[in-house]
Amino acid sequence: MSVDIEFDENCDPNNPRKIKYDDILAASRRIVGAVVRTPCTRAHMSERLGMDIYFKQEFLQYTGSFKERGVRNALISLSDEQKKNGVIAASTGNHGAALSYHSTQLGIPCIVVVPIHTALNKVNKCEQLGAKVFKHGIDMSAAKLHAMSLGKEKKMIYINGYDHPDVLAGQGSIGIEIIEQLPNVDAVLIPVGGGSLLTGIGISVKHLKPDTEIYGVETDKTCSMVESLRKNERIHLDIDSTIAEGLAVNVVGTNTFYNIKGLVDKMVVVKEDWVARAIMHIVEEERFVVEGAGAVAVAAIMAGLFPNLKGKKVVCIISGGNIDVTILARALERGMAAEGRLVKFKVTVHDRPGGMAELCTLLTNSGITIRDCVPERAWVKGDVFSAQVKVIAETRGWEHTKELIEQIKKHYKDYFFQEICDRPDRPSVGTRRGPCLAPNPVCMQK
Amino acid sequence: MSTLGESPAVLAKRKHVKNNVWCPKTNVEDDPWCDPDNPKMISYKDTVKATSVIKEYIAKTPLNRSKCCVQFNMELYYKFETVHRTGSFLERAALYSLSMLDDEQRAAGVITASLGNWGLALAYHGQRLNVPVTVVIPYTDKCKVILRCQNYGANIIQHGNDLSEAIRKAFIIKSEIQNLTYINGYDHPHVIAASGSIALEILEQLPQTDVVLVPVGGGGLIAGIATVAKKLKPEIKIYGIEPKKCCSFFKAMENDNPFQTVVGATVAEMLAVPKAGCNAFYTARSLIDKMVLVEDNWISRAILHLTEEEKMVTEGAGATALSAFFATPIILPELKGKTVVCVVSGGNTDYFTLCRNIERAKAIEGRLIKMRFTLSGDQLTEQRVKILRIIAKTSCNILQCQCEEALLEESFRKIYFTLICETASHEHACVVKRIMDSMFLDYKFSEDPYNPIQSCVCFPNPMLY
Repeated sequence: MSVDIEFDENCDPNNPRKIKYDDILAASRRIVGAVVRTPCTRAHMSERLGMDIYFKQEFLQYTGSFKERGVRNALISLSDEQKKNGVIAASTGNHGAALSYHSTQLGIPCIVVVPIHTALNKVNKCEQLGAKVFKHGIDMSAAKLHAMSLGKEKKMIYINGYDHPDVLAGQGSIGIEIIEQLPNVDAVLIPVGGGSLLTGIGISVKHLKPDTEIYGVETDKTCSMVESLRKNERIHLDIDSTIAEGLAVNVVGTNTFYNIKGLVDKMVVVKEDWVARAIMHIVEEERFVVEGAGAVAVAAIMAGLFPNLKGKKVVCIISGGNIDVTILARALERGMAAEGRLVKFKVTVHDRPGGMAELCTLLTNSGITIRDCVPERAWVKGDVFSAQVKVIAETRGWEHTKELIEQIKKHYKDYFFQEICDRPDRPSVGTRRGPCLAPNPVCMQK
Repeated sequence: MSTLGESPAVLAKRKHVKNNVWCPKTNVEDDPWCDPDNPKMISYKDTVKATSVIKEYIAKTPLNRSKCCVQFNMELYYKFETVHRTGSFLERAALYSLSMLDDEQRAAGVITASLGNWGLALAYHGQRLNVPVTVVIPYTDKCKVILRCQNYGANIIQHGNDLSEAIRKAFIIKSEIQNLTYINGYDHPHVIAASGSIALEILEQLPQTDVVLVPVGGGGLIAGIATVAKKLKPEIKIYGIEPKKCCSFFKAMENDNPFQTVVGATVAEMLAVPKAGCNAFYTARSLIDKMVLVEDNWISRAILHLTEEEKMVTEGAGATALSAFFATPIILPELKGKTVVCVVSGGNTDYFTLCRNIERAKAIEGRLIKMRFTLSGDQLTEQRVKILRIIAKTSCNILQCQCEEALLEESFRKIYFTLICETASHEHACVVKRIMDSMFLDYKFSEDPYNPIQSCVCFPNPMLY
């Protein structure tokens, strides 16, 4: 009889486990003191967005994400023999870091398997937190296979970061804290990757205050839960690179999918550009650093996907803050560009002394700040005496950008403005088509 | 009989001589609240009164334990004043000083000169309390701060190259419109008293505090904190941290009196106050245990640390207190093992400043390296491919890659190949450097921290920590 390597007894499709509120309550008692009881504070952007928004700041946990709660609960619940043998997982992100940290704290041996080409800083982080890191496999599924076979070999328990029942119970403790901190909450917006947050918080909040609305948010590139709910079975979604790395789960969990029915009021899909803008607004107005997955809830509100929540008390789960600073810089740049505050354009000027000075004077008089100004000599087209100047400029907003366009039009014949064709900040509210423009979107149905 | 005009004696009697417009009164900057000849000392009672006035509106700010206590080898805590709506601790001062105006003064309005944060705080609370606010800001490219002030209904005037010129202009405007009240953002007694409320909260939240590190600009914050902290816990130590390029308070302490200094452009823009406040100096000079000067590079590293590890966005001024721990060589060894609180005073930064600081800090720490190869001969493409393969094998991330023709070199086919790469740490960068050393002759690392390694052991490597 051969043992199937991929078989995880805790996440068996033939035997999905039901999570009850009692499990969640017990989990929240177990993790007290080891995990931060994060604040749930009012956001400064509430007035601008027209509702009472509260941020549950899970990025204040030690490893920077909410995953610590589930992991701690799972580790404490192991038997003594299992604790001696150790735990194993395949993860490059928040789950790996959380597992490394808490297993070291509890004295449990831990192995984390990552794909070969993982960035060095992620490997270093798990190692610094005390875990052994093995590199194996081209992508995450190969790494996971290796992890599971290694686990069977060494008798180590494989902890699935979004599907293990103890992990789900641990994430549910967030729901209990929300109701304690904000008893009259109206709605909770939850980012959805594998579904652990959605299931855990959904069960606890609906038990304590049944009239609270629970919404799950995904991005258009990581909508595995939405597609699975639509087809009523867990499907595999190919995920390319996405800004919300924490949500990049190809197949949602068995236990999460089983428990989710009847919990969620609506699933919402938001475009990735809004996530970049949300990161930028949170950096500017709240002065927090959040990762893409943590900002999707705010992005959905900014995109106008929740017109029914105007004036209500809404809690957004900011699931984590582990974003690479280079990606943060790029997200900020995209956010600025989407708001019309960063403009890239090309203008043809005369290639003689004073040509570029004239352009720069015109730009400065318009009150904009020039960030980059590079002349390029023409390769094939155009006359030999002109140069195309590529300018990156910072403006005050769309109105100011329009003024700038008028000025350039007046003084120069040959110009090209990139990406000014559409204005993404006018959401399509009131139509039956969702923001992803699919013909019969599941997010617009009840 | 023709007259020769009136005699000088008669003219003098008539007091005919008027003040000429081109020679204004020397003492136009006459502020009764901040008089250098009569400095006021703020007391603990003033702070308690200020706290009771503002606590209804201003919630207690978080005091969080650092995630890197092991790295710094002490119990490090941060007092995050960045969570206020306008992003800096000055909201406390703005609310209190506006609340202390009587109805007549409120109707007439206030005027101030500010580098940004104070103007923003005053504009926000001015709009809430229906007080017209005028702010004079020195010339800067901070269009975002100006825009936000205008959104709160304030009247913004840009004038001057630094804060002193803006202050002068503000007083000139005040002398023209008589009823305005001038509120000095770092020296007014109400500002100092309200800043002291931060120390009250720190000692409530963490009674076992040993040391408080405070960024110093004009001195208002440290004066308030020192007054309260020393009163409630006399054995506590207060250190003032100032950027080297704008150290007016440090110089005032040396000179035993505030005086006008020249401030340079610095990362901590909001601390560029040319002359320390007289009330602040008078209050704090016997209460501060140590003044520390920090370099701009350390401040950039502190900003990167707070962004990456604590997930909080700060400005240069806010990260100044923490930057003392990024000094090379180590400058505060006596703090090892103690309970230390760093006051993170503000977080108003824009995208470009934040990105520039992060890039700079990464370059200083060795995580961003710039290499320039001089390639000559026939097989230029193969050489470039070889370089890129080495980069890939050592897992560096290429950010920018540029080829330039050598204009004045002897050999005709010579190009400069410049690469900007991201590495994981200083050690990783040294590994890459060693490999490149062994494989190529004609190249160099374009950033300073690396060249001393190759040149001479006498030059201490400024990066090693």
